[in-house]
Amino acid sequence: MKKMICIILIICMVVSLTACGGKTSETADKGFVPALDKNKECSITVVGSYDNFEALEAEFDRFGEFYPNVQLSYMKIDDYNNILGTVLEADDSPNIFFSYPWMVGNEKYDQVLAHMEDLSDPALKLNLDCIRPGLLKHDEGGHVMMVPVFSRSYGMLVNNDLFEKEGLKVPATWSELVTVCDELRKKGYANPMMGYSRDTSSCFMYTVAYPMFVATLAGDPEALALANDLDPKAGEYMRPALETVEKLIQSGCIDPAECDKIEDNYNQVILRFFEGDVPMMICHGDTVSGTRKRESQSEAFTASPFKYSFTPLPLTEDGGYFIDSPSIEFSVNKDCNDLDMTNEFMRFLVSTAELDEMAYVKRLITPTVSLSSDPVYAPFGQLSSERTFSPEALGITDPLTVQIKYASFGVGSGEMTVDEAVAMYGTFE
Amino acid sequence: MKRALVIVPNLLIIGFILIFVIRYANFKVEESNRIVIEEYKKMTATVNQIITNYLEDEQHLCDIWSNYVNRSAEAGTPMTAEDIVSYIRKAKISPEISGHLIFMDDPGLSGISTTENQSNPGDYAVSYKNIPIFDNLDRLNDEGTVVNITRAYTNPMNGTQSIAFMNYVQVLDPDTGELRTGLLMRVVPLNLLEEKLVFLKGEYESVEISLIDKDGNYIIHGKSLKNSNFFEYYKSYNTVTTEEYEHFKSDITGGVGATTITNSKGQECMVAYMPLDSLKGWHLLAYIPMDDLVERRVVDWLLPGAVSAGLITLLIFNFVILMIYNRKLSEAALEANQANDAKSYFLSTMSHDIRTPMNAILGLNEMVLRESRDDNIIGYSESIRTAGNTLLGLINDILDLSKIEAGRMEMINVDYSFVSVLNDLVNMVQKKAEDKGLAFNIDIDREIPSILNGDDIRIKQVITNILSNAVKYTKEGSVTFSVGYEKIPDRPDSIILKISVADTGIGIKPEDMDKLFKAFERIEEKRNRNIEGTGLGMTIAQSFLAMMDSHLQVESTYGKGSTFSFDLEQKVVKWDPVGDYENAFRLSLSERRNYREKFTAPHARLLVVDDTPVNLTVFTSLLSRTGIQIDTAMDGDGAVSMYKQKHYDVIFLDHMMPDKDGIETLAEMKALKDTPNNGTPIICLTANAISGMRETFMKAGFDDYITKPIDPDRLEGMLLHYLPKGKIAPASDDNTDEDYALPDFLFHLSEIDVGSGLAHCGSAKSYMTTLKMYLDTAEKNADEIEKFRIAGDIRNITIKVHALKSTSRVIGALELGEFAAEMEKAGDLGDTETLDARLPDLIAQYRKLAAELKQLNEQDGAEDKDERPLITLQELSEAYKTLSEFCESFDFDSVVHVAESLKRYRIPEDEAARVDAIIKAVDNFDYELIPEIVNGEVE
Repeated sequence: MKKMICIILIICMVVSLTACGGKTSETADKGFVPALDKNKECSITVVGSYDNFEALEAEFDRFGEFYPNVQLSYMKIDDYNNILGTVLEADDSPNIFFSYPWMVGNEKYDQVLAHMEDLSDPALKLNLDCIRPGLLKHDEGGHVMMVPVFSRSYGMLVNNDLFEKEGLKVPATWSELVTVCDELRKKGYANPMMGYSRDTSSCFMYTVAYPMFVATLAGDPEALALANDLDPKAGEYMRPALETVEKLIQSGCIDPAECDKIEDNYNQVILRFFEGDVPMMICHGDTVSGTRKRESQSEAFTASPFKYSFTPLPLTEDGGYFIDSPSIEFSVNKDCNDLDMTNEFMRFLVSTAELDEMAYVKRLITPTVSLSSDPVYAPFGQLSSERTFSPEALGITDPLTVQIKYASFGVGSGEMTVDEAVAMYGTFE
Repeated sequence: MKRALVIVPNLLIIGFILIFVIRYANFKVEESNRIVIEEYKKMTATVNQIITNYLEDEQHLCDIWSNYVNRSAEAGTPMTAEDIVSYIRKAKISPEISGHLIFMDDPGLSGISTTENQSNPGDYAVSYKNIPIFDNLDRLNDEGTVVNITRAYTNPMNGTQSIAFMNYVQVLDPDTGELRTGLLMRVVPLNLLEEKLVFLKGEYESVEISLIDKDGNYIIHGKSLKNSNFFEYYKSYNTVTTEEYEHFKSDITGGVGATTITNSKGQECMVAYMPLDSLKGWHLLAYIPMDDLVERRVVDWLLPGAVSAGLITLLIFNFVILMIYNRKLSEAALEANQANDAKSYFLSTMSHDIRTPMNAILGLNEMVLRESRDDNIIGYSESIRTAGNTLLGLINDILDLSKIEAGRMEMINVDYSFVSVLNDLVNMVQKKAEDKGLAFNIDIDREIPSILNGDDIRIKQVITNILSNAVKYTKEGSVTFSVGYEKIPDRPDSIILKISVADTGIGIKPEDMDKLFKAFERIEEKRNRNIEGTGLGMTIAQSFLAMMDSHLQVESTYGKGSTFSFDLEQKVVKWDPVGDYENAFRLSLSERRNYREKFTAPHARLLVVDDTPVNLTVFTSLLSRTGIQIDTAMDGDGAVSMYKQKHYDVIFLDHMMPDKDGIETLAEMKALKDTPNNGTPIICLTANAISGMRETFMKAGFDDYITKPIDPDRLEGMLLHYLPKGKIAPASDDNTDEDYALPDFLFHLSEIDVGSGLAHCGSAKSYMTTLKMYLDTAEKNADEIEKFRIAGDIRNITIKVHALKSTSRVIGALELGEFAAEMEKAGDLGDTETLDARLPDLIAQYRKLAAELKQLNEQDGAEDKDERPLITLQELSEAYKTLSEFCESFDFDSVVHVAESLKRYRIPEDEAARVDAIIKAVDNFDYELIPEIVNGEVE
């Protein structure tokens, strides 16, 4: 009895005293071991084109557990592609900035590239091995100036519950796709497939054509060389992709006129899909990243939520392709203030755990070898390696992608025939 | 006191104080928070004013530029773009601020900047084609809009986050000579605005100021407010319903206020909001984590923390003190218990030690009263009885209180004669009253049933106490003892006795009434100091009455007298009325004056065991007229030996004996099989009369107990109960012993104390027999002592004087006995010098006494007719055999007992000489001769 009273009193005292104390921070990730002075005070700014980047800001918070006095912030730069060079020249230039593979080789970005730090420098101790090799771009000197933080691919959002409700199987081949679309139309779904079609940016024509064009070039180095050189002869290599776009429209699977009603290539694409009456919405991975947040913004989806996934487009009888391409990459401004802490942050970020976590929050495909990410992307993980292509690894350049983008849009929108588009290869700008 | 009674209230008090302190602290914290929030909102208003002032100032500067340009145009000297830029370069003071002139009719929203492109020196061209900041441009035409400002954006010329103040200007196109409308922008780095808020540092270190439009889109974006839209940010990190979300939006855009939200880290944050004075549709947000805003809360929590610690410390301190005091109290309680045990032991000892001599006093006095014919002696003896009874009453009072306090007092209801009770009461009191010259009035209802059921002993005790007090405290006048009764309607077998005692005594003061029933307190102690008593009487009476569901009532007038009364329910056994009590009382008086035994039982045999010879004598004497054959033993072993050999109808066994006490002896007896005494009731004889003894004796296996001093009536009553009915005969009319007179010369012998001799021998007749035996052996013994003295045989001298000591004391020759005892002691010590010097005197005194006692032979006459029962030859043979065995085992005490037993029988003539020889040998301690006498080897 006496002991019990003493114990209760001690507990009361301890509880009452601890009630005055602060909250203990959670144990940080044991995988990362800080290499710098933990009390160092500095500011690190990441600039990019995203309006907001909450996934990265969550990483700031995690990094802050190791370095509580380091202020990290993300800032959107208006007209990013044009102003980035100027921003990097400013007195208070950012520490890290978004970079893209197409910047390489483009004179306009030589100045930007000149600010990039070689992230493969062993002294930095970045764990680049955690990233899928196809996504890493090595320059002629073997340097790595950009580290992908997200991957993107091309495919379609599929309303799985709708298919289940209608007793249909998600199509895995071209024939199945055509059949399913026919069935869906019969069941009253006027638009079995939709996508953005108002302009070339992220239009469904490009989303359909690009993977097929890459696949065509992947097995033919000579063709790839011609295509990269914008040789008009390479136009023929676009033909299968352009004909697929044409057939898709002609088969009635997708109606460009209906697609034109979708006002933008991101927000409205997602919200239209969430209306629930579109079984398949053609888009690329960046669009999928906005789905989670917009679930709550869609009254229709809130009222009738459904299960959905991002699936490869079944463009051939052998199925679709996984075009494993960097969505955005990070580069370090080697001329920034506090470069050591900037590299420390990169060392923290470039790890399987952190990149996977960031991809999960952002709902984009992780660039790590684990490829473990959101279940929405599960269908891509089921594709064989033979049907996975990395444009960067193949050496596909940005001018090449411009050709197929405009050509496919022209064919899909009816502005030109396949022959005309093939003939115009190398002339699109 | 139990610890819980202290700890629980302490904990409750601590709990209440803590609750109060916490609630008070919370209240203060909430109040403090309200104040802090109000201050915060005021700060927001201040910020609003500062920002407004700043924006208006900047807008004003922009307007100065545009006015200058437009006045020039109005004056007919419009300025070209180059002129304007040149003008602005001169007009602006701060190098951080730049001017952009944009032609809105240009598809590329291009124009010219006052500063060159940082990444492309020498290039002053600027384009806002991809920077959507002109959504609100239509405001420029709104009346009442003071400030025309863009959202924060990246200045395309230097990459700095900036805001721009705008106004339209008329610009001369040098190519066409026409005027074009241009948008003149005063581009200000955002950090300049932030610098205006530097005053917030220190007070609100982590505050972040944001400006949003009515849709929540940021114009100026606080760093912690992620997302591009404040409302989206809120929705992302706060779980709210659509209704709550809309309510939140309307609150923020609807006026002035403050609200809490959860940020991306899950922290509670305060957001103060208000419309921006200078920009319609824009709102100021001041965001700060709650922990940073209400830091003082930690300080406030110190109060309950400190109070908790203090109270708990106090509790522990009190607990420790309490423990110390408890320990001391436990020690004190232990000591008190020990003292109480000591008291109990003392009471027990006192009971035993006082009652033992009291047994002798009252018992022998009873014999004197029975046997004496001398009125003076009877008077003295009556006084002894009165004093003895008073003393016994005092002891009993103390012992009764001891029982009551221990909770061991029991009421034992028996059928009793109410007349008998009255007799006892009146007998006891009347004489006392008469001695004080008081009139003792008795008023007894004639119709009271004669036989009632109840605890008559305790009823008598209660009334005795009241009557005794009445007599004690009344100097003159009367004491009136009244007893009436009432029938109880619903209990036809019971009545209520209504008893009262009224006196004309000193009375009791009202203020002393409370003392009346308090133990050991006596009223007016000083005045009544000469009145005997312990002060326990009323306490005991009240306690007894309470145990009988009654209580004592007192009515008293100081100086005039008191009336004590009580009602007592008693069951009725026999409804015969008591009748005229006066006659009954007179009859009882005559009975008392002529004591007669209640019965005779000459064929009954008792064994009495007591280590004190006097007690044995008293016991046997008290029963002498009943004719009961009584064997005695002086210790447990002797008793057991006799128990094995002879059947007894009742055995009285003393409790306190040396070596083997009564309980041990009883256990030994009960353990024996095949004895003549299976089923014989064994009654404890004890001087211990304190509470609990009855239980002790019953538990030990006794059938009953009787206390010493032995009440003759109780003893006879007990025997009537336990003796076989067939052996009980009515009391005989003759009274031989009563008439057996001792020779007068005995009373004149200075060497002899007749009383002592009678006491030792039990009756006059027995005394005479003993004296004769003493005389018969005196000459021979004296000669032998003389012979041993001459021979220097100290051992035999010692044996002989030991025997002389005992026999002398038995006959009352006390001085000679003491003298013999001194010589025995000298013999034991081998003190030949003393023996040589004084032994002749002893022998001389011995012979002198023997010579004086020879007159006994002359007195011997026909009164020697022996009426003792005749012993059979078979019984005698067994006695011889037993004697031989005891002698062989040197158990001389048992030899004495057997010899004493033989004296109670008439011996057949053929064996008389042998028995006399045996008795003489025993008296002379010649035990070694006894086997020879039994075997006929010695005559």
